[in-house]
Amino acid sequence: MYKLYFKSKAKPPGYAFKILLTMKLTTLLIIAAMLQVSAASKAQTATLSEKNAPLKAVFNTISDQTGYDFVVSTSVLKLAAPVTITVKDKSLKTVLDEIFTNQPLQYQLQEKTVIVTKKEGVSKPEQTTAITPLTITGRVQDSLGKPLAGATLKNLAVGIAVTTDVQGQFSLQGSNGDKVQVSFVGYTPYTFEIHQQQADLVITLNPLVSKLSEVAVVSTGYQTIPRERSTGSFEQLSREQLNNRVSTDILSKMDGMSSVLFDKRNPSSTNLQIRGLYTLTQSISQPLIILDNFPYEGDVNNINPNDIENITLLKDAAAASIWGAKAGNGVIVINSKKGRFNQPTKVSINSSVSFSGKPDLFNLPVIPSSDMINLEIALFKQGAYDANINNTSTYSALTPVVEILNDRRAGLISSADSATRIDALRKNDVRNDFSKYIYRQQVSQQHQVDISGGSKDGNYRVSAGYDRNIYDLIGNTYKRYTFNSYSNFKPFKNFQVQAGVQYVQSNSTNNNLGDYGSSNYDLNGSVPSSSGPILPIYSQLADAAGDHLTINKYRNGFIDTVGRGKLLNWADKPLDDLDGNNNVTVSRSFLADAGLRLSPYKFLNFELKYRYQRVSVSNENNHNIDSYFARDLINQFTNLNATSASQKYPIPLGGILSTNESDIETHNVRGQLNFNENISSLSNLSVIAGAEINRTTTNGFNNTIYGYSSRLSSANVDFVNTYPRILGGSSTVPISEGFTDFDNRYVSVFANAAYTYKNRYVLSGSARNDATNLFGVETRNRWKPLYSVGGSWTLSDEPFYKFTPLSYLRLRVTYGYQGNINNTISGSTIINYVSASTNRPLNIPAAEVFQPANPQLRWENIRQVNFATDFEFWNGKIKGSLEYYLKDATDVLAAEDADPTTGYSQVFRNSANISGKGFEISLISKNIVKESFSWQTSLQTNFATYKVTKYLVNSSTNGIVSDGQVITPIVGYSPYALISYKLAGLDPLTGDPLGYVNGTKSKDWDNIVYNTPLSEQAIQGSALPLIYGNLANDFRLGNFKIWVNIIYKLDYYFRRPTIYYGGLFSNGAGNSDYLKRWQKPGDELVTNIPSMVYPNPTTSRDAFYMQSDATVEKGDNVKLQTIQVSYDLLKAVHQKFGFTQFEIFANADNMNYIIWCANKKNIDPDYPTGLKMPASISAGIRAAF
Amino acid sequence: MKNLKIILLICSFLYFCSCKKYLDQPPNPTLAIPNSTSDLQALLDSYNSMNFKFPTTMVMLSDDYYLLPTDLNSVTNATYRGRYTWEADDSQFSDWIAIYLGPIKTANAVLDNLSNVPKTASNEKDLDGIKGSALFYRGFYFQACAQLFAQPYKPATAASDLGIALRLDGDFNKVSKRSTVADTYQQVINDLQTAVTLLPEKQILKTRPTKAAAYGALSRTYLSMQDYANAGKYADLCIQAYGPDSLIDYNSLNAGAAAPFKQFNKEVIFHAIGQTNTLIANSRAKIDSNLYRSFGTNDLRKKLFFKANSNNTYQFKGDYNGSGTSSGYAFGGIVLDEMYLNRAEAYARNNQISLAMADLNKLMKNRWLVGLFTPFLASDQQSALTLILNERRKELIFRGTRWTDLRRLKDDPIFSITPVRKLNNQIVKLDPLSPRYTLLIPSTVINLSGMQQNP
Repeated sequence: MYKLYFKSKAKPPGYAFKILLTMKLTTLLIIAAMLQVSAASKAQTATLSEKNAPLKAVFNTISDQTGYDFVVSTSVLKLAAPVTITVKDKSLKTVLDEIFTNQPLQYQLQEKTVIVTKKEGVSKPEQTTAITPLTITGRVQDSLGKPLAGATLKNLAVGIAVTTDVQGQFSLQGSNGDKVQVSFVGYTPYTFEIHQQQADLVITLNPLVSKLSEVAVVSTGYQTIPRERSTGSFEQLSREQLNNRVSTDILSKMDGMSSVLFDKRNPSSTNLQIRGLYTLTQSISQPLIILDNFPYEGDVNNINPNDIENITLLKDAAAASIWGAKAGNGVIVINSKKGRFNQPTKVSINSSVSFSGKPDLFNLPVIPSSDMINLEIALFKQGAYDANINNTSTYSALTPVVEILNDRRAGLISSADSATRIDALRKNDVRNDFSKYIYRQQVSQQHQVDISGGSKDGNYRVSAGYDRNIYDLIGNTYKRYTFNSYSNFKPFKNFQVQAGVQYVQSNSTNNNLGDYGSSNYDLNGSVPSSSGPILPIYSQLADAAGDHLTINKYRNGFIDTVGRGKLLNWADKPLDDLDGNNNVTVSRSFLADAGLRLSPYKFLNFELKYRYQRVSVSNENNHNIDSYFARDLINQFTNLNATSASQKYPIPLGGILSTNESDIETHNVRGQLNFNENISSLSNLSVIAGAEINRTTTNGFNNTIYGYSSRLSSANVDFVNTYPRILGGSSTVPISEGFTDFDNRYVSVFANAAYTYKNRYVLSGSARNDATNLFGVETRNRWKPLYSVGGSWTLSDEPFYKFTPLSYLRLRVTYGYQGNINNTISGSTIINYVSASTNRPLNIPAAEVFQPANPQLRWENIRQVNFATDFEFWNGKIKGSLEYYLKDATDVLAAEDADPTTGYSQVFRNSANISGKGFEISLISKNIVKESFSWQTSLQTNFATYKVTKYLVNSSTNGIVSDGQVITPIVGYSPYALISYKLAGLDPLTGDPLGYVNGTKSKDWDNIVYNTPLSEQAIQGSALPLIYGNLANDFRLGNFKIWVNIIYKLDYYFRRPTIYYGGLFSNGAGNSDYLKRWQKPGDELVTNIPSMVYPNPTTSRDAFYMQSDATVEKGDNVKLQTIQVSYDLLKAVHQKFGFTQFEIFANADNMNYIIWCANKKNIDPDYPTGLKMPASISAGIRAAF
Repeated sequence: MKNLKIILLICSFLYFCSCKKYLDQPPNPTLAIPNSTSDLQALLDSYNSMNFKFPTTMVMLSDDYYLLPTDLNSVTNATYRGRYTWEADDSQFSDWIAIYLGPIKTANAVLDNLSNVPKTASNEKDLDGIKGSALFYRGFYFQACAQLFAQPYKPATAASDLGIALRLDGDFNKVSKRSTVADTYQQVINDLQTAVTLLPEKQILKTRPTKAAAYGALSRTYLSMQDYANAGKYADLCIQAYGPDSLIDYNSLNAGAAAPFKQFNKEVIFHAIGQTNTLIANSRAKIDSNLYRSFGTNDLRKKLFFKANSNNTYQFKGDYNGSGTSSGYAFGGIVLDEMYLNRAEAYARNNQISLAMADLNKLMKNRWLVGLFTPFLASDQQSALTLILNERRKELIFRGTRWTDLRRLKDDPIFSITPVRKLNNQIVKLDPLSPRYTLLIPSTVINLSGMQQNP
């Protein structure tokens, strides 16, 4: 495994030793590579000319020339003398013999590896004599019977360890009952007990697949750095960790497993946060996402998680500042799997199926049917529906109850009839129909196969994946095909070429009318302008026999009479429409990578990298002639008196096709020099420097085609003239047409250097200068220089360091700047052209003032200081890190409220500062490590607080309230602070909500809502958790592996929805709080939900209560998120079929099982509306041969 | 070493690629710095900003309609309900904000950026037209804004009464201050007078102002100042410039249509409408039965303007925007019929009775069933004015002019009207002395600018 780092010139030589050094700290050293045999035909000769060179440098040179790997421990290397040698085209053996003549070391050639050990007799492992005479000798081997040289056998009773020799032989002493642990890097440790003298004991260690991914290198997208030489704050998620969760996309696998905070409060767009929020513009607050070397444009969901090797988070300035002005919110570097040199062909298969149930609609706080009906009856009596009943222009439908009441009032039906019909409705609950006809069980499948391999001069990996999701909404599906190919070869000496291609196509259909509660239905009452069928809670989508029912958008009487039978059928059966629409989105992403590396000198190489990416998304929403959408629109425009067909049907008879195309095209070019040299035997300097140029263009357009039929015909439509509408008035034929076009350009130069002395002192620095085509900004503000510096000190490597329980201790400090860019704002007066078709009714191009002139605009600036320590207790039994950071953002662009009289209600200025700090603790404890049973616990905790420290806005904070959903800058508070009016209970006589005006109880809601000063508001705290993390337990029992993840979020608040009478009256928007409202004097003692008053006295009454502190709950919770059980079948199948991996697993994810929750109202803080995401159950296999 | 040189060459090439030109491309081509006549014209052609901001509130406050209590209650927005009973309200649901964010800002942006376009012989006319248009829009909307937020014009106190904020450029750093009523009207007159000299006689669109439109706006302005001589003078100029014979013969219209009047019809000199509002939605707003009955049987307007509801009430469908029964807009553009009425009133005020009656009769002949019109006759000034104001009330219904008329006539000993709203068991009157003839400025504006609020 590690030989990759020996050989790959991407990493400066010397890293392998560094990695070995790490290993020293956890085991007692000596490493053998997991050897892969490859018949190398090249002659193993070497040419050397060295004078007093460090032995490891010489090894590197030989490794480069011959392809042989060296396996050696740091302790052994410490014995080495400097080497002076001059040979030309000598065989490897001759060269090695000469080198080793004067060394206290010996070597052995084993396949393609040179194993270096101390000379026999030079220094034997010290062994204090034990009283016991029992001696055990034997041999340690791997599962294929190959000897493991350098395995450690530790007598746990006395703490003495020995290592095996090159034949895997050992000799060990102990007393009866002593436990001996056999360990070897990359293998599952094995423990046995000494009972008697024993010779020729054969111990077989099994490879620990998971350990392979624990590579101590981090990738920044510009270079891979050994962790030991990086000063910055990196966090890595290995392939094995990512495998613990099942999902179609890569990012959501990090949820609950990393320090990335997933803000999922808006179901349509998840926001990611690394170390808090340091900008006030939502659209630029996301981390930068890198796939391999370059930013990934387009939808990250296109990346197949099975193609990903690991994810690295760059959190502090030293880690992230190499990405400069885009890195202010942290960087997520996704590294894809690659082939390896000298690796036999390997085929891997990943396959899984997931199921999740229908959402539980009955958890929603709705007003029950009977109560809703009673309310409508009461409102009817007060004339609330009269305007709609008498509406003879738009003829909006009335709810079934109002229709019945109206018929009764008009004397069309008897009061008995009316009561019977209404009572029949009381039994209905439309949520039953939704569960039955709109929802289904979700099924997701993932399948992938990949083939990889490599010879000495080249490697490759090819993969193909297929994913299919059948979503819980009937009619909505997703299919994804992914194809990946990456190869790397060395056509000439000192020359390496990389080429990669990725193609992803996804097809999704979105034919469902939408979730319960979506705006596609008018779920409650009647709004004249409503877009969909009216579906109050007591309605039905289908009758008892399952026949689809009609739910109209217009009054029945109108539909029956207006057309005199000459219109299209105007009845709306929502369930029929599942077939009437065909809404398909096809996304195609093509990505090509090309790279070459020229290595004219050992210490210097030049890389040129290029990436081209093109993402096309095309959406076609075809409403065929049978769909309600098409029939409705055609009918509305039909002119029954017209004589010609085109006059009669301004909207032609036929389907309506809406299309939407978008195209993102990106070019990235980067030239980079890499310098790496051991300046002396004790120090190393590594420098990269380069320049890059990026351009991303986005084009899009949308259009509407009328008269569309499946025989691919369409009809011409007059979009210019107005036509009379049956619903009154006249208007033009609706058209949705528009174009988008963006062209973002960046130019950057960058450099990064690290100096290492004695392997324990590291000094690093980076500098970068970015420029963009930020519009209108003065040239002097166009470039943005950013830099960082850092240092680290491995204290435990100092000779004076003697504190053995803390076996490893390293301190790191970094300081530097990151930036944020916003290409949507500018310095001059900007006008925005609007398309002629939207400039109704003129149909000529128009422009609107988009931004006032503001030549003072600058880039946002983020400064970060990071203090960190990495530590290990008891040789790795507990290890972890602690990071503490201070982060300050200045020149933050903020929208300030302006006096609208100026022409702008908001203007943007670099007017705010945000300041924050936090710390991150990560601990891994190996509680039990036995061959048959092991238990490991890892704990991650993040604290992140931040607040606005400056906000140069004289805007009034009077009356300000916030749900913490949108960024609200107020000096002294988090931009996501939750702020409420104080509720002073209810008026005992009327049930009116009482607030405070100047400290006294008041019902002057307008005054309260608009004028309450901030100092008199209730400020609960942040609406995002300030403390969050996870606790994962990893159990291995025989071939079973169980992973259990518990996530917690602490110190935050949320506002729950409640009753809003204005909405209830105008469109029936209800909440079950209605049932608990104040109804009679005395109720104020048991409820704080205000009484209902019709007509609603003022909107401020609702606004006051809805945003009062009575609706705020504490969000703190601990949840069980994931359980994964996997079973390793390798032993059972590998002999027979040649598998190297065969694992089956079962997984329960997104369980949302609340272990503890601060609010006692049974509300999951992640789903305050009550509609929870159902848990998913998966099963699958991972195999390789 | 050769390799190294190549590498350095490539690197320096990449570095110098970062030339200014590469970065000068704007990120979004729909964005532009206004620096051409077409950019400036495009700003003025935005229907939404320039023609769709007439204050609907002028109709909401007027007595052109009434609401049944249930209909009033079913309006969710309390501010809108409050407009019906002339309540003091300083919420942000205000035309003040819409006017300043839309036409005033845009007009000022055009005036500020005019200097970006060098004047040449070929574009001089266009630039004059653009400048004249921008000044027209500013004057037109300042005048409309003053009808709501400035004290009614009284010559005696105009120099000290509070007017509106006169924003004359786009610099948002300047703090808004209120001017006096005299300054407000002077600014409106200045803008419109300058516009007259710059605007073309004809435009291809009714949404673009012409010389006639500027005369019309001046006539409207002077009428609101009760300067009847000038109101008449500019109405006359307007009628002459636009064409005295462009009145629509209502006999040519279809009374059965849902929207009898076409948008941009030939009587419209300049097109402006207000945003729709639920309070005056056609399904809610009922026509006062006395007003409805005052239309004679042979008066075509009775059928063209109104549609019967199911409950024996009437709704309005006769707007000049062509929206008909689809509802709630206020048409506030400058129309030839208004100019005839302005001129007639001016003649009458000046005791030119026969000229006044000639104007009235010329208009009314086009409103009557063909052949059945008997000309109005008046012997003295008062009877002439009575007839003219009577027909003005009927002709300009739902145009917003009624509110200005109520304001200017409230202190008139003969023609003063006190509008009344009947609620369930309450009667609300807008007394001539009430401060509610002037609306409160939105509290956000007061808070952010520190300007003085109306009483």
